[in-house]
Amino acid sequence: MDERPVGTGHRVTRNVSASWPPPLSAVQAAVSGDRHALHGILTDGYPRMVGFFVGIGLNRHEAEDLAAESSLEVVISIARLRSPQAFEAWFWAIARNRLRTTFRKRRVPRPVDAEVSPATPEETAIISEEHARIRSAMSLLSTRDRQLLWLREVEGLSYDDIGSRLGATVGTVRVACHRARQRLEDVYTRGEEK
Amino acid sequence: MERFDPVQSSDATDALRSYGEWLQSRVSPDDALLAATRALGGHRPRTRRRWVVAVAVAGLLVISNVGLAAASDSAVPGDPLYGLKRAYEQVGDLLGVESHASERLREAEVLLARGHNDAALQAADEALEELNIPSGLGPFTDDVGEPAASNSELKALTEDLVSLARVVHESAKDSDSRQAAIEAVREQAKRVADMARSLSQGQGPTEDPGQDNGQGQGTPGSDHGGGPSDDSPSNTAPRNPNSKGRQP
Repeated sequence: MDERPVGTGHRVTRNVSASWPPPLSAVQAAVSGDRHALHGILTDGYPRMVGFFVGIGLNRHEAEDLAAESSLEVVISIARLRSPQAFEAWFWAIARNRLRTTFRKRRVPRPVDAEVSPATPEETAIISEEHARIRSAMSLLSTRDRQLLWLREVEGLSYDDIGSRLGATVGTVRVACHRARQRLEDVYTRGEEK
Repeated sequence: MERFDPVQSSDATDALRSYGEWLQSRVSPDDALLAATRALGGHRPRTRRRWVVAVAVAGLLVISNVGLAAASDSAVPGDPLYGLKRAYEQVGDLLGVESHASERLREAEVLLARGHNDAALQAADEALEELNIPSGLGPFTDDVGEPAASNSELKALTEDLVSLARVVHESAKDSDSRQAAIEAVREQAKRVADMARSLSQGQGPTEDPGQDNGQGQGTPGSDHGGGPSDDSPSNTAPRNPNSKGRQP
């Protein structure tokens, strides 16, 4: 996995799985119809999707549903992926679109902005104090900020990738990420002081 | 733009990353494997399209079948849709329809009205078969010659036969009247067979000048009263359905 300096617009390497992002050869194979390769990609990508959806405020069950639907969308659409190099950005665009569609169907404006969904009892029992604090801090940010922070800081997408999928320039994404990070820092610190 | 470079890693972002990693680790590999397998096996939109197509085709088939079934319902032998009607009847047989005697009798009546004695005889023969009455008509119905096909006396005899067969069909099982009607049908079928045989062999029936072409073939259940119209052995048979004097 390529380690690149943080802040240059390239990938921030903080991936849990050693096979994520998937190697270009695996993506190319999946695009050309190799279901075994696609299966491997989805197996590695699914937990990340679940994490993303929970991280921005959905409960576990909603997150799993959306991750499953997004995985399905990946299966359906991967043959149309024109540049396998941009797989990861494309993958997260699917997740974001699925999230947006879900919110639209609910007809409730940005429900996750109000409050992060409560963790399941099981998660509550084992969630650490630090995780509870960052979860609480994230709940005070906008959905856009949460997504930006998650994709950038947790998933390690480059500004280019985020910008291309958000329809924003790299500069705009940098500014937006910087401000989101500051807001997170503020609310996190305030919570710590309490 | 470099001034916005997020080089600093605060406690908050570190906590966020840690939280993210923890969340991802909460998904078991088995769950991930299952989700991937389901996604690959699901292919929901395409499946949905297939379902839509399948339902649409099934709907069209049902509609067209219902329309065709209705259209073919009144068909009689010789009509373009008659084969379809018989095909639907075979489907009905599979579904437990026990008898098509009534339909065969109706066809015979229609064919007689159209002057198709030969086809009417066949329909009557099939009706009797449906009613489990051995008619003896079979050998003649397939080979009714031109004279028989247009003979008015044969037509009258066949009308009586059909009327009698309808009485059998509509009477209660194991009733005395049914048994009597069955006997009458056998007698009448024999007359019709004799008439058809003689006509197909070029031996026209001995017309009784005093009668109007067999209209006197009265039998129980028929509209024709009176006695026999010729001297053939069959036509000398008693008309009373309760009579035991059947010809061998």
